[in-house]
Amino acid sequence: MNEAPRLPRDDRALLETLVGLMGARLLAYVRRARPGCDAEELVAETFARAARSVAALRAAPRPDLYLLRIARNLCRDEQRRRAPKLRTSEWLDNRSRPAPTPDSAAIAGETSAMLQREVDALPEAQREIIVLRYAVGLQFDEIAECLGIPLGTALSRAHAAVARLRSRLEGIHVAD
Amino acid sequence: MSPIDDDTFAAGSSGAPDPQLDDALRAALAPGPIAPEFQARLRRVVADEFSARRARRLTRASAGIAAALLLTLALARGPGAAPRGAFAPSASPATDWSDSLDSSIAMIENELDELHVRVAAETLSRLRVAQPADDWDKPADQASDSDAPTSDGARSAPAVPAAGPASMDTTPSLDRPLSTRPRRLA
Repeated sequence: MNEAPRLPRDDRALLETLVGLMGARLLAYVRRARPGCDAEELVAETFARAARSVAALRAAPRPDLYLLRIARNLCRDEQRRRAPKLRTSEWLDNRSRPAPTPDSAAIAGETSAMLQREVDALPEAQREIIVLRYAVGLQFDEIAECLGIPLGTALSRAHAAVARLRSRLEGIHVAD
Repeated sequence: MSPIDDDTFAAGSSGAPDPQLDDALRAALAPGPIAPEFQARLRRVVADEFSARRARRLTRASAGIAAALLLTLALARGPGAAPRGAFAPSASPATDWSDSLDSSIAMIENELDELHVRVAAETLSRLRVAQPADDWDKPADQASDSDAPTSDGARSAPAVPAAGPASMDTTPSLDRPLSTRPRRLA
């Protein structure tokens, strides 16, 4: 993500390159930052929309961030659609105990599994930044651009998230 | 990493870097490999979108050609002609292109028919101008109605020539059309 790859001139080749570059990252983002959404469906729809507006994608200074924004908007739409169906208690329950994702089984190590759970339990605004930072691999200025927030806001949310994770980790280690 | 944000963040809220947590988070949240079936699905989605886009473009191009033809025909109809089809004031901008294409093709066919008839009529009238002036050359409403059927379907009797010297003029004249030459009495 740090070095922009040379993008093909052909529109279809551009999209196929982005499937290779961003498919897994988008999937990780949707699964982790937006639990409850059908990640595969949303990522497929993200690429379909990108193909429909390929001129805008090409005009975007960062096609990867453009794709992330599409995915994020789709997730938010999906969450809005689902929101009335969930009662507050169910919503809180879902937040504290998010459904396990398919790749959690593949990840070895107790700490990793525990960290995933803790990240899933973060408030959405903090969780999104942590996922964009560690799962997608964005830098903070890129995160701020992607989310449309000031850099300072992105940093303060990240600090808050990391402080919370650190305290949770320390608590667990002390308990052990 | 950018020197401002990432260094600031790496320092942590307590001011001390926490590379251990940083690495642990990276390891825990790293995206796993994407399933080949899912990757194939994404490529298929992209391919389908491009096929649909190509089809839409072709339809639009055809409609564009049809519109250009309509414009050409409208110009051929001459100034003051009411705009039709895509140029009509009532035409909706958000027209379905395939419907528009169908109606444009129908319109072009009609226009071509009309144009064909008009060209034929103009050609005929030019040919008539070249002929000597005579009764048959006049427009239908001014022409003698001797050949026109009467209301009961029968043809009216031929007009009787007015009596007088002119009717008795037996001088042959090649300047006069045959139909107006006095008939030789048997």
